[in-house]
Parts: sequence; structure tokens; C-alpha cells
Amino acid sequence: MSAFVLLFALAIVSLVIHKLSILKSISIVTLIASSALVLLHFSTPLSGFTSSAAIELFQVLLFTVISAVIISEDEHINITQTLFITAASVLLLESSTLLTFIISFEALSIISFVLVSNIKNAKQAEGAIKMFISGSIATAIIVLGLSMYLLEGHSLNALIDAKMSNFAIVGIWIIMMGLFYKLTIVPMHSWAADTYAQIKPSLAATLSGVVKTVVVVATFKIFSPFILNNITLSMPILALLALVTMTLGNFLALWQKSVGKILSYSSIAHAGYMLLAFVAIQSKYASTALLYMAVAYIFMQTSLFLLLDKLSDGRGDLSLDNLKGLYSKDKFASLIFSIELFSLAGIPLLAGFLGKAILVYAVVDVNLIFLALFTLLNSALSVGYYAWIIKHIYFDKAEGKNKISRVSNTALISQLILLSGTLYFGLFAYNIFEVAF
Amino acid sequence: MNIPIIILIFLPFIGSVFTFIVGKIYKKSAFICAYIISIILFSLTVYICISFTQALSFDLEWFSFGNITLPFGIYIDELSLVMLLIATGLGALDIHFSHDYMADERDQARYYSKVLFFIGGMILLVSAKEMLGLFVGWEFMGLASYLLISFWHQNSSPADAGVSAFLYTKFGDIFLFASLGIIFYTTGTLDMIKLNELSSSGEINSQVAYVVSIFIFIAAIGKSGQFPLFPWLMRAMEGPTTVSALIHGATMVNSGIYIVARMFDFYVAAEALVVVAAVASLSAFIGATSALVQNEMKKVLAYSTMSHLSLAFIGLGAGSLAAGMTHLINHAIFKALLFLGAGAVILSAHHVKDLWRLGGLKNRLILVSIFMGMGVLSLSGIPIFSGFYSKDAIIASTLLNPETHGLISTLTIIAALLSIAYAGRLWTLIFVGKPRDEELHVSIKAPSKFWISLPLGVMATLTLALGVFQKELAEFITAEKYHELHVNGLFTFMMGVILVLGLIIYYFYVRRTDLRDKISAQPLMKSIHQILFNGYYIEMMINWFAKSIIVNAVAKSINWVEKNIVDAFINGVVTVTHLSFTFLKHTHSAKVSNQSGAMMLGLMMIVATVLIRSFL
Repeated sequence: MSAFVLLFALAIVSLVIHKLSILKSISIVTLIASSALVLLHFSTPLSGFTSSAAIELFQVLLFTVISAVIISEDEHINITQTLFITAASVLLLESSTLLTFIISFEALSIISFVLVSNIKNAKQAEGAIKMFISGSIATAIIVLGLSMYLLEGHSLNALIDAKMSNFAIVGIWIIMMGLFYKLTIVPMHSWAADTYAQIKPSLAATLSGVVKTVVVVATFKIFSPFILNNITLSMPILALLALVTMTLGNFLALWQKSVGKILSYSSIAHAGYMLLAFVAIQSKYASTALLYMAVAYIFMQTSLFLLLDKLSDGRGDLSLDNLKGLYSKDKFASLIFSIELFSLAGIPLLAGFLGKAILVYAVVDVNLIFLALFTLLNSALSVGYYAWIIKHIYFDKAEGKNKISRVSNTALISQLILLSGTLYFGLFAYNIFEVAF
Repeated sequence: MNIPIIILIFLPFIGSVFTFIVGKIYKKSAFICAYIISIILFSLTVYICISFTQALSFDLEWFSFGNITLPFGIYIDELSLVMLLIATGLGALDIHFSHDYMADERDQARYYSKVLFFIGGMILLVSAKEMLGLFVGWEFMGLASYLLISFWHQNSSPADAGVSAFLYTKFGDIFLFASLGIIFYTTGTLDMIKLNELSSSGEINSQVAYVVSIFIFIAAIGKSGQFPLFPWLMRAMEGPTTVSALIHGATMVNSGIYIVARMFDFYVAAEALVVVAAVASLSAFIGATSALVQNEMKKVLAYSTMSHLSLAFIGLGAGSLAAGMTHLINHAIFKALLFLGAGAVILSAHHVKDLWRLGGLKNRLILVSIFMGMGVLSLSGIPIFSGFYSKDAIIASTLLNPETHGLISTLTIIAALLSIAYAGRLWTLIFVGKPRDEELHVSIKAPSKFWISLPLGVMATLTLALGVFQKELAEFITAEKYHELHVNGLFTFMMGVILVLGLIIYYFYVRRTDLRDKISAQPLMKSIHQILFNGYYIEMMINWFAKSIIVNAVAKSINWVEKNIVDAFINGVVTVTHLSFTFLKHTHSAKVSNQSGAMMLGLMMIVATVLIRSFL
């Protein structure tokens, strides 16, 4: 909790000093200090919040990614919001009762709305509004589910009860459906496809890379006992949702022209992959698989959206044709872009490959051979559109004057941080294998 | 692990790189560098040999993954030691000889670094404990052989010969690799000593052992130029003669025999020795008869190499490890001598290799003619020379073994006897008689005594001296008491036939050359000559098979399937995905009201599912 206190204090202070140029450096130092606090187990116990080795590891990696986001961010107001999001993420990751979980989740959602409300043009307004409306509905759904759960006499200030009436079970399912809005699981996904592609890509990096991953890990932590208790029902439903989500995401990404749209749909498809860990919850590899996928995903997705932000100068309206000839213009950015895309596609020696591999392993472990097969087919399909982007970057000549901007050196530093994460976790798996949830 | 062995294994590879770099900077230094390294290697081997008391064994690990561990151990026993002595000793002599032979070569650095790399591969092969290390050495040598055959790659024919050697040996290598997999899967070990013990105690399934031994033997066939994978060996003569001497006469081609000898107990237990003997006797016959009619002196030697390696295989196949291995060693020495002697002739005769343009060189190349003559006598199996003892032992062992008595022993005796004919013919055509090309004859000068004649002399002495120590050699290799095999009347018979054959050669090639030409003009003799000259048309048959069966029938039908079924399917995927995309696109509406509607609809469907499922 001490990391939360530190980050929250910094976020409040940053409201005062956000005109000063030292905000960025102070934020980085604070994030490093928070990582140290987490690693040294320097925590103030608070009821409703617990931590574990996996959560601590994930928090440190989260702070690393947030540092990269902040390094690459130019607007101070966005840095402030990002700090608030980080604080809320720490709360969400550590929450251990339904009540603290829902409150942290709502805090995270509301700050997300504030983050995207830094609107510059009509398109961004559309994206922000869509997210706001869908988010409101999701909150309403969650509250509906909570009320059903409460009506059956269960307490919010505890873990989900093992023994429940059918009415309460339906309530929990409704809460989960509300959460799936943030996870962009079909049918709660459609806002994401538009919002991620329309808002400023650096904000999309925070939303789709950081916030989504945090919610996935926290949801897994809180809801896995419930899913395990109702395995006969949850396995088919979640398997179907995972399958539909990844298939829809991959197919819709396949013929898109805009890079932002492709990344949005790929993000949806990855939500489908991560849901596989919930499906394979009986396997002892499920938690490792989810954590690995989350770690791999947080690095590669954040990196890609941040790079898109820099290449499009914050507009995010790059089409595939605009990427032509990027290689001759900026070799370093092309290389990073390609490596992160390969990682998303699941090419060996990169983090994305191991994440997917362990997920599929877990799915096979619970004897869902066909689901594993469809996952692999989906993964193969997804290589199609990732390779298509790389083809445009490397092998096509620029037509006329392209509107790509150069990636600044500070942005490259942040990219290198994210890249090293992608490479490190592609090669050294044991860090994640050894931690327990 | 003791230091000499570490140096012995790593020095050739480090030296190879070092020689290349140094040689690129200053041309002459490549030779010096390689020469010093080869002498160090030989001295180390001699040192290990002198201080040898019992088999040296070191267990090392290449890498381990999960519960699979790939070992990469070193094992040096008597058998390995003898092979090491041959590889490093002949290697040093060969590099010594190369000083003059390759003097005009511009790219010296490349040549010497490749030769050192080859020696390194051979050392690795013979000192490996596991089949894995053996395989790595095996492949290194294959690579070095390819690189050295096509050393003059600017010309098309050496380049083609290199490719051909690579393909033929690679065909065998696949089987070696397969046998590695089978052995590791069934027994869980690749340790050859352990495999010998396991198979002797009957712990390996005999059918598996049989398949593995045949697979290994196929690899040995490819590497040692046995029927039917020998044509590469003949074409390999396109390379420098020093390379032919070292790689395609004395060392690399022996590795096939070495691997069978190393796993001798395994072969005995698998009852695969008779296959070895059968195939080898056929190749011995083919090699010996084809060697009779070749026009190029290196081709004669190549066919005789094939025939003599077969004899060593037959010795093993007839169940006598001592006979096979002693013949291998004797052969390595006298064949290197003959090849280098041929090299000396080629060097003096301005790269003329055609026997019919040489002749009467006795007076001009007196030392070379004497040393080569000793090699010829040893190869022909004349007593007191080393070749006689091992050849005699092989024939005796085939006659005494009931499995090989009969066709195999007959073919072996014919092949063994014919060696006097082709070797005598070779020597006679080069050194005796009237010069057939006066212009060439006049220009021939005697080569350098130190750089050329000295290594020949060393080897000639060795082949003579080894004749005395045959029994000790055999006992050293097999580490047991040597029982001399004896067949009544064999010696008298052999000597009689050799004498007759010698007289025939003398009569037809020296006294009555006109009669010889008349006989060879007969149509029947002409067609026999053609068959023998082309090595029984084996290469043509292999090419025909590869082209008409594999390329035209199999590959083309696979290509059809690829084009019309696989590609069509892949193209279909594109269409299907595009259709799915246009269909799924309708699920996504840009209107937020529709999106919210979809969310609620989905929620209701799932809640309905849960409700129905839980209340039923």
C-alpha cells in the first residue's frame, strides 16, 4: 500500500506543479521509488488489500511501463492523469475483497474517462464519448450484479462466497460481464475498436496496454475461485466468449487500412487469448500463463501505440499506405515496430510467443484440444496482418511525400525500455515461472 | 580433463582460423603456421601414446534441456590412438609435402586452414565418446572434404566434383543421423562403449540393433566410397593430390571403417557383419577390376582405395577386428605414399596425369620410383611388406568363417590378387619402358629431396617396418592375444598367382606392347574395357534413377499436388477470410446506441444461459 500512498501523493502534488518542467523527472524518480518499496515489501497493511509475489512482480513491471509512457508523453496534464491511473491500478491489483475491487475498478474507470477527455478534435471527442457511454452502462451492469449478490445476504467486504444460491451466481456473472467491458470481451468490445483508434494513441497506449492488463490480472485474482467453483458452467461460456473474441478481433483486423484500427482489433483478439487462462483455470499453468501473457502484452501493446503516437505526431490517423518507406526514413523505429509486431504475432524468442505458448499449453492441459487448435489457427491468421504491416514498412517504396514524423530521442529511450522488456521475457522465462499468485 | 587432449581437440580449429588470418596478411606464413601446428598435434599424439596406460574417458555435457541431456564426452583408447597417430602423422607429412606441391598456389591461406580444419574434424571423430561427437566430427570432415575437393572452384569440374562428393556422402549421413535418433530413443544413451556392452548383454532389441547397424553401415558406405556410393571418390580426384592423399586415401575414407570397428561388439550382437562383408566384397571386386583399365594415375589409385577399404571392411565383416584394423592402418600408410608419389610425378611432369603420356621416368625420378615401388609391393601383398600380412589375415579369416566362406571369400581373393595387376601396371607405365611423350619427358626434373622425397621415404620405411610389427599392432588395437589365422596352402597359392600376374604385366606392358594393343582391339575386350572403365556404369545408373524416378516421377507429382491442391487451398483461405471480414464487419456499427444495444443483448443472452443452466 505504501506504493499507492506515494503515487497518490505525487499525483496530488503534480496538480500543483504541472506547469513546471521537472514534473517528468519527479514522476520517474517516484515510480522507481515505488518499485523499490514494492520490492522491499515495505507495505502498510490495510484491510481489504493483500499482495503476493506475482502481484509484486507485476507492479514493478507496471511501474516500468508507466515510466516509459511518461518519458514519451509531452503533455503534463496527461502525465498527471497517468499517475492517478497508476495509483488506482496499485489499489486494484492489491484489492482482495469484492468491495475494494469494485471501488478501485470504478476509480480506474473514472480516471480513464478524465484521461481521454483531453480532447483536441471531433474524432477524439467521438472516441471519448463512446467510451464514456459504454463505461456508464458497464458500471450500471456491475451495480445490478452487486445488488443481486447483496440481496441474497452475502457480504461485500469479503471474498466471493463459495456457496451461493443461483440468484447470486447470476449476480456474479453480471458483475463479470460488466468487467468484460474493460477487458474488451465480445459483446462488450465494440467501444474499444473505435475509441482506441480515435483518441490520441499515447492515451490508447495507457488504456489498452496498461489499464486493460491491470484489470485482467486483478479480475483473475478475485474471480478465479468463483470460476473454479462453477467450472461446469463457466468453462463452456468463457471458452465460447474467448473463441468469439479472438476470432472476431483477428478477422476484423485482417482487412483494415488504418494502423490504429488494426492495433485496436489486435488488442481485442489478445483479450480473447487472455480469457483462455480463465477457461483453463483447472490447469496449474493457468495463473502462470495469464501472468506471462499480461507481462508480454503490457510491453508490446504499449510500445506499439506509443510508437504510433510519435510516428503520427499524436493524431493516430496513419494508414498502411503512410507507413510505406518508413524503413528508409527511420531504421530504428522500423526495427522496434517490427519486433513488437512479431512479438504480438507470437514469433519465438520474443515475449509474445512464450505467453501464447504457455496459454495454449494450459488449454491443452485441461483437454480442450479443439480450443487450443482454434487458438493456434487464430494466431496463424493474425500473422497475416502483422506481417502485412511489416511488409509496408520494409518492402514498399514511399509514394510522394509521406506524413510520418521522426521519432524523437526521448521517445526512443522509452521504446528501448519497452523493447528490452519484450526481449527479456522472450528469453528468460524463469522470473515469471517462479512466482505464485 | 588433461591438457594435451584439450589442446589436441581445440588447436586444429583455432589454428585453422589463425592460419587463415595470418596467411591473408603474409602469404608464406600460412605454410609455416600450419606446419608448426601439425607438428605440435603429432607430438601431442605421440606424447599421449607414450603416457598411455588405460583408456582415457571424460564425460562432458553439451547442453541439457529439461530431463534430456546431450553428452559430448571424450574417449581415447587404443583404437582411437592408432587413428589419431595416422591422422596427425600423415597430416604433418602431407603438409610438409604441400610446401612444394602447392607452392604455385596463390590462395595458400585458404588451403592450409582447410587442411587443419579437416585434421580437427578427424581428431574429434576418433576421440568422441558419444555418437553425437562422432557425428559432429563426421560432418566437419565432410565439409572439409567438400571444400578441399572444390579447392580450385574457379574451374567447373572440381566444383561439380565437390558438390557430387557432398551429395553422395550426405545421402549416407542422413542414415547416420537417423540411427542416432533411433538409438537415443530406444536406449537413452549415445555412448558407444556402453552401447557395445548393452548389445553384448542382449539388452537392446536385436531388430532395432540390426536396423541401426545397417543405417550406420550405409553412412560408412557413403564416407568410405563403397558400392554403390563410390562415384564421388573417383571424381574427388579433381582436388589437389595432397588432399587426395590425406583425405581420400588415408584418413577420411577410413572413418567408415572406424565407426564399424568402434561399434564392433554392437555389430556382432546385431548379426550385421555378414551384410558388411557381402557389400564390401562386391565393392572390392568392382574397385579392383575397374582399377585395371584406368588411364589416369589418380583414378587407378582411387579405385584401388575403394577396393582396399573394402578389404578392411571384409576383415571386420568376417569377424576379425584385428585383420580389418591392421589392414586399415597399413593401407593408410602405403596409400598415402602412393598418392604422394603420384603427386611427385604430377608435379615433375607439369600436371600430366595421363598414364599414356608418361613412361620411362625411372631414370629421372629415381627416388620417387623406388619409394613408389615399395608402396606398390606393399599394396600388392608381397611378403615382408606390411600389406602382405593384413591382406593374408583377411583372406584367411573369410575362408575360416563359415558365413563368408564361398562367394564372399572368392571375390575377396580375386580383388586381393588383382591388386598386383593394377599396381604393377601403374608403376610399369609410369617408370619403365620407353617415354611416350618425348617433349614432356625432356622437361621433367627431379623434385626437391627434402620437401618431396623425404615424406615419401618416411612412409616407405614405415610400410616396410610395420611388416615386422604386425602382431604387436594387432594386439595393441584389440587388447587381446593375437591368434594368427592359418589356412594350408594359401600362401603358396597367393604367391603363385601373384608371380603369374606379375609376369603377365611384364610381358604385355614391357616386352610385347604390340600384342597388348592387338588384344585390346577385339570387340569383346573393348566392351569389357568400357564397362570396367566406367566403373560398371554405377554413376550413370544412380543419375538415371535420381533423374527419372525421383525428379520426374516423385518430385513432379508432389509439385502438382503443391500447385493444384495446397496452393489452391491457400488462395481459398484468402477468399474465405475476406468473405468472413465483410460478414463480420456488419457486427460492428459505429453508432454508440447500437453498441450499447449489443452489450445489453449479449448480457441478456449470457444471463439467460446461466439462469437456464442453473435452474434446470
